Amino acid sequence: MANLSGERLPLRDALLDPTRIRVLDLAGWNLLIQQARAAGLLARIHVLCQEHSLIDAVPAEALWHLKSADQVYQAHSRDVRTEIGHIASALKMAKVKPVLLKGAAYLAAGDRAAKGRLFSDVDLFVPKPKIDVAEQMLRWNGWRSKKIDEYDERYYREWMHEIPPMIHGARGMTLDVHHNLLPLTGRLRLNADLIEQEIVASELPGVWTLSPADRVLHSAAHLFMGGEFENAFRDLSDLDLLLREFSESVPRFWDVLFRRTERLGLGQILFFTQRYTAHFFHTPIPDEFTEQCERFVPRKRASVIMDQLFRRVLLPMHESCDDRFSPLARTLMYVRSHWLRMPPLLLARHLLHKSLSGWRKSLTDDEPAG
Amino acid sequence: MKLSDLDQSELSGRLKRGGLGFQAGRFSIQLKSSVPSIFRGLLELYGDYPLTTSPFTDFHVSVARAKGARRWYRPQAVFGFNGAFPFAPLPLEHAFPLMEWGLNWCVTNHCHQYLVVHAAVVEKSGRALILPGLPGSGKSTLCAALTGTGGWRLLSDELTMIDPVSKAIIPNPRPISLKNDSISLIQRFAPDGIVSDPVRDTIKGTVAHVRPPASSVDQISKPAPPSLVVFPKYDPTATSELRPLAKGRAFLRLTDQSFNYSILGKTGFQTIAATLDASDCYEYFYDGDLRHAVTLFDSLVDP
Repeated sequence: MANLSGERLPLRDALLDPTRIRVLDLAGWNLLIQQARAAGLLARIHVLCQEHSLIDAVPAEALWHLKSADQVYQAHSRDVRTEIGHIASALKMAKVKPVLLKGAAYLAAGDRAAKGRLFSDVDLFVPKPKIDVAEQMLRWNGWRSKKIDEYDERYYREWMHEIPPMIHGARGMTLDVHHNLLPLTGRLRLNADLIEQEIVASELPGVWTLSPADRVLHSAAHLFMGGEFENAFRDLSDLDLLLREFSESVPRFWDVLFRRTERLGLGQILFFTQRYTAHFFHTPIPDEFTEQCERFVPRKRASVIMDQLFRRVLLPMHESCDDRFSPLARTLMYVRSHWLRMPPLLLARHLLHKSLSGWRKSLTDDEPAG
Repeated sequence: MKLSDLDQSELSGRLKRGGLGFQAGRFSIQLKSSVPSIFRGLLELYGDYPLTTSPFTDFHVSVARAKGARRWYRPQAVFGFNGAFPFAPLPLEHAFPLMEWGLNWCVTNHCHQYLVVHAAVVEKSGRALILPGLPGSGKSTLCAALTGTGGWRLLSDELTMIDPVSKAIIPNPRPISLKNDSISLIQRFAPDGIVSDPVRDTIKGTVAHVRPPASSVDQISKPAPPSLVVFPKYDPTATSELRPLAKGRAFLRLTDQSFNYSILGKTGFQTIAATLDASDCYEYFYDGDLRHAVTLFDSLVDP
C-alpha cells in the first residue's frame, strides 16, 4: 500500500501523535482543520490537545474552530446521557434489556473512543422476540416512527436488521432499533442469540453494551460492509482507539477477539480491521495476531483490488485526500455494500427503485429540502 | 488591500480558481465560483471588504453550477462547504442569495464560541441596539434604515453574536438582506445606498441585498457592548409605539431566538442574563414609518 506522507494528512498525524501539532505552520493548520471538519473529528482533536496540554500550542485562528466543536461535543454527550436514561426507563417496564451500539455504547461503557465523538442518533439492539413490545413501549413513551414511504417501510421490516427509525416527539433525537447487527438478507449473517449471550452491563444504569470484542466487530462490520464513507475515517479512528484500549484492559484480548471472530464467522471483517488500522494509525497489533488473520485474506487478486479501494474511501472526504480514482472507488464500494446486503434480484430491484425516485426528485425539486 | 482594488479580470480569475480569499465579516472565506451573478454581487456589495493574505481560512466555500441533467434543463446552483454540499441546489438565478444563506449557515452551524441570536444589531455612540425577530418582523428593514441614513454602524442584519467571555457583541457585517416591499421602501428612504438587483421567486420571495456602509466594514474587529434590546413588530395598521418590556419576557424570547442556546447550556443562560442586565428592553410596534423609527432610536442612545 502507498505510504501516506505527513504533509498530505496532518489529521492522521495529529490523531497518532498529538505533539506533532507543534510543528504545524498556519498552512498546516488550515489543512488540519479542514480535514478534521470533513471527518467529523474536530472535537476529538480538541480532546487530544487538552489531554496533552497542547492547547497553548494551537494558534488563535484555529483554536476557536476546535472550541466550537467541543461545545457541540459537550452538548451531545449531555443530551445522549439524558436520552439513554429515558430509553432505559421506557424499556424497563417491558423487561427488555436495551443494548446500546456504536457511539452511544462507547459513551455508556466509558470507552476512549467516546472522546470527542459526535453522533446524530442513538443505536439500540433488542432481541427479535422482544422487538414488538420494545417498539410499543417506545411509542407509549413519546417516540414515533419517522415518516417514510411504503417502499422504505418494507425495506426496513422485511430485508433489513432494524425497524424504521424512530424519533422522540419532544426531544427530537433519532433512535435506530436493531434486532440483528447485520441485514437479514445479506451474504454474511449473524446469529443474534450469540450476540445476546455476551452483552455486558454498562456504566450507566439500565442499559447494556456488546462485549468489548463484539463492540470492535460490530463497528468494523459497519465500516467494512457499509457503502457510505462520510464518517469512515472517524470510524477507523474509533476502531484504533478500541483496539488500543482493550488490548490493555481486557485479559488476553487478542485471543478473545480471534476466537469470537471465528465463532461469528466475521474473519474477513477482522482481516480488514487489523490491516487498515495498522496502515493508517499504526495500531500496535501483535505479529502473531496479524499472521493468524492471514487465513482470512481475500483471494490474491481481490485483495489487491480491495486495497486500492479501501485506501481511498477510508480517507477523510476532503479534496486534499482525493485522487482521480476516489469518486470511482466510492461508487464501487457503494455498489459492493448493496451486493453484500441483498441477493442479486432484490438488489437489482432496489437499485432500480432508488435511481428512478432519485432521478424524479432531481428534476422536480426546485426548493431546498433544508 | 480591498476587494475593489482588484481589477475585474483578476477578481474573476481568482474566483474561478478558488483563490479568492477575503474577510467576509468576522470570518475569512476562500470562495470558488464561476457563476456570473456571484462575480457581479461581489463587485456590487463586497468592494470594501479586505482581501486576506493569511494561509489560514475559516470557511472554504463554493457556489457552482449543478451537474448532470441540470446542466441544461433549468440550471441550478449548489453551495459547497469544505467539500460537502449541505443544501439542496437552487435555481441558478438564486446563486447570490444562496451564497448569503450559506454564509449564515456557516455561522449558525459552526460558531458555538459565541451565543448566536436571530437578531439584527447596530451600534451608535458606543451603544449596541439588538433587534431580535422572526422573519417579517421588520428587523432587516429597520437595520437598513438605521445604517443607511441614521449614522448607525452595522454589526449584523441577521445573526447577533455575543461573546460569553467579554459579554460584548462581535461584529459580523455583511450585506443586509431585504425582502419584497421593503426593497423599494429602503430605496426611497435611503436613496444613496447601493441595493443589488432583486432576485425573484426565491423561497423567501423577492430578495435584494444592501451594500454595508464602508465605515462598518472598516470596524469589523471592534466589538460593541449591548445596551438596548428591542423586539420590532411590523404592523401596517398600528401606530408606531415603543413599549417597555419586562426582562423576564425578554429573556424567554431571546432564548427562543437563539440558534445555539441548547448547545451552550449554562453558558448560554449566563450570556443572555448578562446581555439583559446591561440593556433596556422594549417592544416596538411600527407601521413602516422609518423616519419615526430612526428619530426614536437616536433619542434612545443620545437623549
